[in-house]
Amino acid sequence: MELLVNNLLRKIQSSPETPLLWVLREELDLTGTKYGCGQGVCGACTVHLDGAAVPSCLISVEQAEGVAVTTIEGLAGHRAFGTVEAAWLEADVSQCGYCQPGFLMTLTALLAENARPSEDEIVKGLRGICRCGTYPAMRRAIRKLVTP
Amino acid sequence: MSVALARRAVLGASAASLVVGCSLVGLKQACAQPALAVSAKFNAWIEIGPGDRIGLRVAYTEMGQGINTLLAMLAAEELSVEPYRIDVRMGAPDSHRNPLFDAQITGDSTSASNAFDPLRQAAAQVRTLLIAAAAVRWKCSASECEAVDGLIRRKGTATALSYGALAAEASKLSAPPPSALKPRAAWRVLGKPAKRLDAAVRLRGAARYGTDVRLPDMLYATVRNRPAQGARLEGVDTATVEAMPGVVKVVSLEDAVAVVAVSTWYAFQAAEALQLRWSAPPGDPATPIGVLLDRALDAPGIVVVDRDGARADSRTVALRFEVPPLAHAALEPPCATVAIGPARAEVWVSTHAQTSVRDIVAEVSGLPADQVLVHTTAVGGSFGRKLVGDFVRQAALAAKAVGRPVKLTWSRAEDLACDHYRPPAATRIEIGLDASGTPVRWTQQLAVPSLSPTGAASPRAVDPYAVEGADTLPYAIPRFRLTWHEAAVPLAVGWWRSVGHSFNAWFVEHAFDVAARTTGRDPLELRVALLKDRPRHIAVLRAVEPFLRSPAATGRFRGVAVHQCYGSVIAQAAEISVDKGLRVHRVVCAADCGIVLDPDGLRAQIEGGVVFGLTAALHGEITLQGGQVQQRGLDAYPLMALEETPEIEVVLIGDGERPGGAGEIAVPPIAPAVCNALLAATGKATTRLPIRMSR
Repeated sequence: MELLVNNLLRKIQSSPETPLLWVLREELDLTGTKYGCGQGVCGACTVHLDGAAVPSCLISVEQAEGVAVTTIEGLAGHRAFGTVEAAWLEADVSQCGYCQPGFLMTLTALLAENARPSEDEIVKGLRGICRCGTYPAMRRAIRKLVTP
Repeated sequence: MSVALARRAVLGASAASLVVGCSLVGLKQACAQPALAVSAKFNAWIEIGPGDRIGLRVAYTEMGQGINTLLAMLAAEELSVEPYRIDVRMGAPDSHRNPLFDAQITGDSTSASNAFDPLRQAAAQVRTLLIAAAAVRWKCSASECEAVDGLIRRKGTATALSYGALAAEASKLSAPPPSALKPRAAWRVLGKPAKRLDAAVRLRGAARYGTDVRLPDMLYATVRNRPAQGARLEGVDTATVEAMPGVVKVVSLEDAVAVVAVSTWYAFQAAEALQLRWSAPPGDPATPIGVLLDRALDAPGIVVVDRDGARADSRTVALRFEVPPLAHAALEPPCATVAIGPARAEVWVSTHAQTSVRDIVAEVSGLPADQVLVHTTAVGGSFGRKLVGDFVRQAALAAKAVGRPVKLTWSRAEDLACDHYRPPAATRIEIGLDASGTPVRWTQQLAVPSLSPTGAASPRAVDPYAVEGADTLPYAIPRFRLTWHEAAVPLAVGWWRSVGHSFNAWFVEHAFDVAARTTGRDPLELRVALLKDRPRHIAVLRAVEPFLRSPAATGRFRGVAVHQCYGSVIAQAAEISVDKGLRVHRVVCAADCGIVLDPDGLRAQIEGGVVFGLTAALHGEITLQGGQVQQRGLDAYPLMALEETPEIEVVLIGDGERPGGAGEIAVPPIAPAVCNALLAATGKATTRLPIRMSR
């Protein structure tokens, strides 16, 4: 099997029903995508499949064949990444940081689909879990993003 | 504090570096010791290499609470550099200990307070030595030199040398007497806005957490833990599972079964397929926890406080409150990687109890503790869970069984179902009110399991973690009697962010409001009237008062709570509505945390603590069925998300000589603030958490 991950074609040995999450983390050593729940609730495993945000714990590697997979390690090339990262750093959002790549994956996908979202649209779209409770800082970052 | 220099030869550090240690134990006269005196008393090391990076080895673990940034700021202030110049790393468990526990362990919101003086002193000493070395080089006096932003400058000239260029010579000088610390008015780093170090690394997914460790020849494992406290493994069919793809070995442990495989996914699959037989747990696991707590309340307790200033009451308010067990649910599950060699072992782990981890691996491997190397990875949250080394023991046993390095990761199901929970607790409170509605009597029985192991033969002392925040009732109530009733529950219990304060603040502050409203007394004014000797309590209450009293939109109600813990005092006022179910709209916090060293970091901890406590108040509940925890996924143990989070405003007031705690202080007051608002809205007390609103 072959996967296109962060613009590189990778040969995959894992069995086809293996969740994409574990192929990324363990076969490809792309550990920025995290395991948090295995149920698609927490968002820590979020990747882009052809630009759309998807929980990689719920997708088999077979289902990801033939699509462009982007992980946090490959997000720097995303057109929304620079703005999002700058807003996140300015608001100093991250505490333990474990969930943050997942939030950035979700937010960049949202912005790619909707270039001028309202604060409310972003808040509703960011359904992930941050156990450290960085949400107030996220709100400050989001406010900066939506303010022209 | 004793400050001494140690030469690199003894430390084995790089050829030309200057290393200064400082003890974080109290404050003793600094002694100028000869350079060879390496002492186990040292807890922090500042190292300056020729490459100009400043290394700081510390005793405290960064787990999201921002301590790395604060420790760097403390050193940076006295070193006259920007904090980003400093690389913070964990020191070794023996030489870098938390003085309060005499072990390498982070907790109790004490790190900033521990490090405040000694770390600044050590940094100041380094600065003094660098200046002395420059003075020798330039053949001038030290007073003609100054440290400015990583350079030693000769005043009034363009002559300057970097710290790196001077480190070798400075390391040959003898230690100066204690250096004068910069006065607060001269601070350029401390007390100012500061961004977290390593933020960019974490955002890009480049930080290696315990779950991300990868070693050559490493295998992957997971466990199925015992389904109930006290259940013993009676049978496991290893052959079927060992035939599954990718499985290397099934290993029976003391209270769990581990599956070792070539990947975590294969291990997870195999663990799920395991057919296990367990003995029935002892006792009667079907007895509801509430019944067990009531049995404890009915039994004689240990007197904690007995203040007998009797006054007549004309009215009594009697309440019973109960809280459930709570899971930590850090987003990174428990995970440890252990490699055992013939002469030495290594462990990579998200932990903040490194001495304990080292001792566990030493015990399992049979190696001496000083041959066990502990590597602390980035930590994906802990909130107290990663103080317990049960998963480390499991990883070590698995590594020993297969003879290869093993990374053992718990599934979310195991993390939720086999936690060391914030214990359940129940309390009966009687508040006697005089004719004016002022509390004159507070009689309380508190049933909580003990967090400290109790010796069989010794008389049971009061567990301070069970009663903290209740025994220190701040109100001037003449008759106060508190008894602790140790409860036995069929659950492993442990330290959860703010520990005993997490329920005792709710018990006290909500009971207080119920009593106040019984006779129409204003809850804020009644508090102030009984806090005459507590100016910090009054100050934080007055700071939230404008919000509390401001005109509320229709359908909005407010409530307030105040609590002292970890050296800080904090008040929170919450605004809620109930027309579409309970919604918390806004929380205003006023905190007196003594001297504020890192205001941005402190704000982040308060905001995060409110979210943590509010999640528990609204949603947190671990339930048992036949002794088994029912919650095995985040769908069953919901955690608050962004949309549900209220607006949180933080006001930092007060001042002091020392920093108060930050990491846990905002958790206790939010439940009572919200319940007090609910009381204002509905007239009804909340007697159990999580809050359940009937529609």
